[in-house]
Parts: sequence; C-alpha cells; structure tokens
Amino acid sequence: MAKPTWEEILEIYDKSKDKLVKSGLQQAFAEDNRFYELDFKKDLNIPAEFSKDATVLPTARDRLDSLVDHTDISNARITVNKRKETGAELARLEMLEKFGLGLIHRVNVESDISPLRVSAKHYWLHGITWIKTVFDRDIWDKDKGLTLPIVVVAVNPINIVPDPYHNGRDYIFEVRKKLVYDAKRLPFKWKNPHELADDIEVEQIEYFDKDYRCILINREPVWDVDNGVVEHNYGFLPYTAIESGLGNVDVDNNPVKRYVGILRHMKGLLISQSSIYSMCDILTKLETMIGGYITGADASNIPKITQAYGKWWPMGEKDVKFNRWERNLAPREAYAHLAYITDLIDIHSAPKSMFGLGEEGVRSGADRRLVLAEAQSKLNYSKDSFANGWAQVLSKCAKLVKDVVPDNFTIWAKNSSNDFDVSINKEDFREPFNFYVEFSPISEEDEYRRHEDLLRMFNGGLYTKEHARGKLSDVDTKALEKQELKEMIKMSPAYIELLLQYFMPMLQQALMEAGLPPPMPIGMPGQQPQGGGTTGRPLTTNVPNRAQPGSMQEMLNQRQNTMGTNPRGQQGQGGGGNRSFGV
Amino acid sequence: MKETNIDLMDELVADGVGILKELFNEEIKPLIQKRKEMEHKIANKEISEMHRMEQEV
Repeated sequence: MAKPTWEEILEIYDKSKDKLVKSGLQQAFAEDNRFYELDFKKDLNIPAEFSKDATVLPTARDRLDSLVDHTDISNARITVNKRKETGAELARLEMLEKFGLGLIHRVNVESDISPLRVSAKHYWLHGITWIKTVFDRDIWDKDKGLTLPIVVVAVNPINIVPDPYHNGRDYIFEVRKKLVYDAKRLPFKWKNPHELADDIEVEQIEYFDKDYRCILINREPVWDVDNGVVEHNYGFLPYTAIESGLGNVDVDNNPVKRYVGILRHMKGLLISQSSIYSMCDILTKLETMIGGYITGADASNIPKITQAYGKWWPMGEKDVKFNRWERNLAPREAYAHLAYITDLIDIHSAPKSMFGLGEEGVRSGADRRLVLAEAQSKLNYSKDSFANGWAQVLSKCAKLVKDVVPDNFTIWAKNSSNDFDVSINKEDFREPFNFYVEFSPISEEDEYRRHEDLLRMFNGGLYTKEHARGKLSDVDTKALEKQELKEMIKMSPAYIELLLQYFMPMLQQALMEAGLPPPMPIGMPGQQPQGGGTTGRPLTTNVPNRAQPGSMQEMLNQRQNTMGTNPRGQQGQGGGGNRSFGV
Repeated sequence: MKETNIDLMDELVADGVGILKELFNEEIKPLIQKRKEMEHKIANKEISEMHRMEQEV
C-alpha cells in the first residue's frame, strides 16, 4: 500500500465522516445512549400539569446491565492449541497462555475501569465494540519492561469513523475532542501553531491503517517527521471490532441495521411501559390523597381548610357540605397492559430467569434449568462472539510483542486460579497465535454441574482422568499430573530412605559437635511386621475396616457410595409439582 | 525440556532436603543442645557428689 499524505488522509476523513453522518449510525448510537441514560421523560406524553410526577422506569438499564453482567469478564481462561506439542515447543505455548492470562489480568487491575467491562457495555448497547491495542513507548522508556507496555482500550463506537466500504477493516479514524491545554501535553505535544487559547476545544483525528499512522489536531499533522504520517510496524490494524450479531448485514450494508444493540428496537415498548406506569401512578396518587368540593350557602365564607390526619374542623352554624370527588382509579386493563408490555420487553431482551427472577409456571429444578438454558441460548452467539473477539485482541497483542516491543518484559497474574510472575521472552513469540478465550460461567451451579457431569463420566469409564481434566479450562492437566507423580514418589520407601540418608549424617555431625554419643540405628522404612506376628487361629473374625463414625473418611466413603445414584440427576423426572394444588 | 521421573525425583529430593534442614535446625538442634546441657548438669552433679564423698572420707 502506497504511503498516504496527511492531506489525502484529511480528504478521506471528510468523505468517510460524511458517509457516516448520512447513514445515521451516530444518531442511532446517541439514541441508544439516551435510552440507557433513561433520558426519555419527554417522550412519555404525559399532560403538562402532571409531567413533574412522570416516572421513567429503569427497565432499559436493568435489561442492558443484566446482559453485560452475563458477559462475564472475570475468571478469563486462556488456552492455546498445544495438543501435539512436547518439549521446548510446549513450554513456549504455555508461556503464550500465561501472556494472555497476564495481559487480561493486568489491563483489568491497572485500569480505572476494566476495558472488558466497558467493551461489554458498548457491545450490548450499540451492537459493536471497538478495542484498540497499541504499544506504549512512554511506558516502555520509563519502566523498561517492568510495566506492561501494551495499552488495551475500549473505544466508544461513537468516536470511530470507519472506512465506509469495508466497515473499518481497511482504515480507521478515531475522533475525539480535547482542550488545547491537553493537546499540548503528552503524548503528542501539539505545537499549537495558531496559538489558540488553552481552554478552546479542538478535534483530534487519529488515522490508522495496517502500515501507517497519522495524528491530526485541529486538522493539522502533529508530527514533523515523515510529513506527519509515520510507519508503525504493527503489521495489523490495531482496532478490533466485535459485533453482537443482533443486527443484520443487509443488501445495502447499512451500518444502522448491522450494528444493533438490545435497546434499539425496544424503545417504543420502553416508552409505553413508563408512560402507562406514570399514568397509573399519577391516578393512584390523586385518588389516595383525594380532594373534593364544598357546597352550601356558606361555601365561600369558610376559612382555609387543609387535609390532615385525625383533625376535625368545627363549622358552627354555617351551611356547608363537603363532597369527595368521584373516585377515578386507573382501570384494571391499564395494569394488565402494563404487565403485557413488561412480558414483551422480557421476550425481546433478557428473560426473567437471566436476572434471578422466577419464570412463571416453572415447577421443578430440572424444568427451571431447562428454561434457563433456553434463555441463555438466546444470547449464546453474542457471548461466544465476545470471547472470540478478545482472542483476536490477544493475537494482536502477541504480534505487538513479536514485532514492536523492543525487548523482554515481565508479566504476572494473581487470582483464585492463577498465580505466576514470568519473564516474557520475545524470541518465543512466533506465529500462528491461536488463543482461545473462555470467560468462566457466571453461576456456581453451572460450574458444579460441569464438575459433577465429568465425575460421572470418569467413574462410569466413559472418560479417562486426563480427558476429564482437559475439559476443565482452569485446570492445568500437566501440572496436576506432575503433582500426582510427586505425591506418589513422596509416599515411596525409596524416597524416605533417600531423605534418611541425608538426615542421619546431619544428626550424627550435630551430636558429635555437641560431644554426645551417636543415635541407635533406625530400622528400614516399610519393614513393618506382616500379620501382626500371630500364628494359628486369630482370636476374632475379620473386623471390617470401617471409618470412625462422623470422621472425614466416613463422609468421603458415603460420598463415594452415593456417586452414580445422584439424587440431582433424578430431579424433575417424576413430573414434579403437587397435584393436589392443581399446579 | 521434557521432565523425566529422575528430574522429578531430583526436584523432590532437593525440596525434601531443604525442608529437612529447616526442621533439623528448628527442632532437632535445640533438642541436642538441651540434651548437651542436661548431660553437663548431670556430670557436674556427679562430680560434686564424688567431691563431697571424698571430703567426708
């Protein structure tokens, strides 16, 4: 690709921006945002005199946040394909896994807010998230490999102007406003050629394609070298788009139809729900503190009367009569309609079971599980797509290490399943990078069922131990095998004998130094008398080797005995429900 | 490098010897020291007893 000039870049930017504006995508994103921020009171169409009592229900937020929470970003598990590898190659691939894990861990702990969380929110709100991965030269120069020199940021899709014909796969503009004061500081140290005041807002346009990068502030290049357009050596476009799949790639490739968040086609329902709720709410308030009117000859001559609890007003001889307004509560149909709208919102977005509420008509645990699985299957693609997108991000970061980061650096992770601090060797980064990212299940119940299932498969002989372990992404099979072997060796007489060989001379030397006599020789381990030395008929018959009641061993034995006839497995198989209640 | 059982054994022996040394220094050495002191005490007592008997004789 020929190197573009900054003037050409500016021209392409204007065209791309124009096309983007005409597509209406940014407007659609702004609308998504408005509904997420519950800023649609004016759309409820409540009469002006009651508008201050109108309520916007937080349904939009609840539904979206529920989906974001289900895109579980904690407990990331990273694997690379190392099935056939052994020796040095295996060690290299294991280091790649640690790099992936460490990278996600570091960007999570070192950011004000995790870019994974931010990207998950953009993902469900707008149907697309953009993740930017760049090498940070300033950090590298400062820390020389002690701090992660790779920056991973979730860029708001509204700040992205993609190339209009390939959806940002050829080149990207990232646009943001900043103060002149900020533009003059790091990282770009803009020279402010027209000497604008510090508090004026200027536009920063960052251009990236797979070979070149250009920063324009106030439509002028920041860098003097290479005519403002520099080669970045990344070998890839450092922006990764992850699409939720809720939209549709139509014949016109209309981005508004392609990038669809969960609220996009629910706005009418959200407005209806809040509108009907507000009307019911206003009527209920009016009827609860109901007013009235006064009739009679002296109606206009009575002093001011206010409604108060337990207070009676003496009227003397005055001819007045107090009348209540006719009661006028919201009709039952309004409440039924409100419930119907809520059901429609559930169907369109996240079913009740996804945010911990019971589904109607669900009786047994198995039935509930089935309903939950159906609910999750609705969003399965989006969840997988998010994890796959992050696998792409990791591959790009690995390429950065290979081609851009100047030297080795250290990376670490510390959480419930990972604890390492390793030096990343640049030489070990070779393509292909094939990361597989999995974000662990959100529910402990899911995790438990997975373990239970594997245990049964293993006990039933369908799976081997190694295969079953391989199914658990947080389990390092090789490490466990090594630990097992170590345990076996530790129990062996040969090992104990070996340790004794070290121990005895130490003891003898210490005793000698103290001027004490040497100890009596110790018998060989493992030479315990067989059969207790008895001959002839034993005094009792064989006593079964049972664990002491209440001991840990007894509990383990019981657990072993119940394995394979797990009562959970039978749950729900008998029809469930208590028929006498007609459920 | 693929680890063999011998490598593992070496690793385990190194671990074991390390722990053994620690245990030895923390547990056994003080015991030996105590025994040494006790023996000294007993020996001193015996010597003084003998000395007393000699005096009596």
